Amino acid sequence: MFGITKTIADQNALTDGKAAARYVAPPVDILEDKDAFTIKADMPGVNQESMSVDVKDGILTIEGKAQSAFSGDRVYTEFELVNYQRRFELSDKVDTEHITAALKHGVLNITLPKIEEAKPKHIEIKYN
Amino acid sequence: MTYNNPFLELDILSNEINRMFNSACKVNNHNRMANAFASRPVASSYPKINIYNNEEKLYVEAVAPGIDPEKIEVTLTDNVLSISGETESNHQQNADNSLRTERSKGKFVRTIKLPADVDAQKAEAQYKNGILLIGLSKAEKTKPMSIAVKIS
Repeated sequence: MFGITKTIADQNALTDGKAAARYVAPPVDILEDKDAFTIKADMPGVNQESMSVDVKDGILTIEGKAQSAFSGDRVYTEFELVNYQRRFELSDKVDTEHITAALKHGVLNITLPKIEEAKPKHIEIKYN
Repeated sequence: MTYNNPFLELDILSNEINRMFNSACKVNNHNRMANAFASRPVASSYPKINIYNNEEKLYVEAVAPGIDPEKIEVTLTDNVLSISGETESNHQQNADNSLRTERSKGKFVRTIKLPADVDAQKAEAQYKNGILLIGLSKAEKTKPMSIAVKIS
């Protein structure tokens, strides 16, 4: 019943032979309002050029390469910047022709508009 | 109070414990188990940092995506670096229209004891692609000094 039916956890089945261990799934929030679904994904270290958002056969794929702002002699480590990848299966409620995406401060924001038929209709009640 | 069914009491207790675990885990995605009993996010683990070092400078890199740069505050007191700020608030997304919530939200403070003495006057910070990079110049006395060896 949701527009985004599920997130695909089994990366191995879909990565087309890429080493799955080199990718991490970015944490996401998924929101729904009457006109659209919104996916927000935390992908720090990714810039516009190294980011890709694709839809193929009803599957939305987001992928990004994180680049460290700095490289040098590391003396203390808590994180490694890696490549991100995550896939989402879209339902037929999503208008795949009009998906838009924006990247800001390391957060990818994807808007997936609903097809007209899936939007709630307000019905006026007439009095006689 | 009467105890007609002791098993019912146990059931209620078990549900209550599960509820507490679930609500605590939702609060902070970074440290699920460690914070299972915390009532709010434990500030010290966010944001995650890396520290780089060279002869002249110390760099602290922190991952904190989705923050308005004007809401990040970096302070330096006696070699203790403090990074605080607020990610987008929960008000922007209410529970009604939320299908999935995995990202961390809310206020954070992190303090880091620096491994070398630094000159607070020469500190600089930049925020790019969700990563905060703080450059700190080492204090004169901690820079390595080469000592000429005289041959007698």
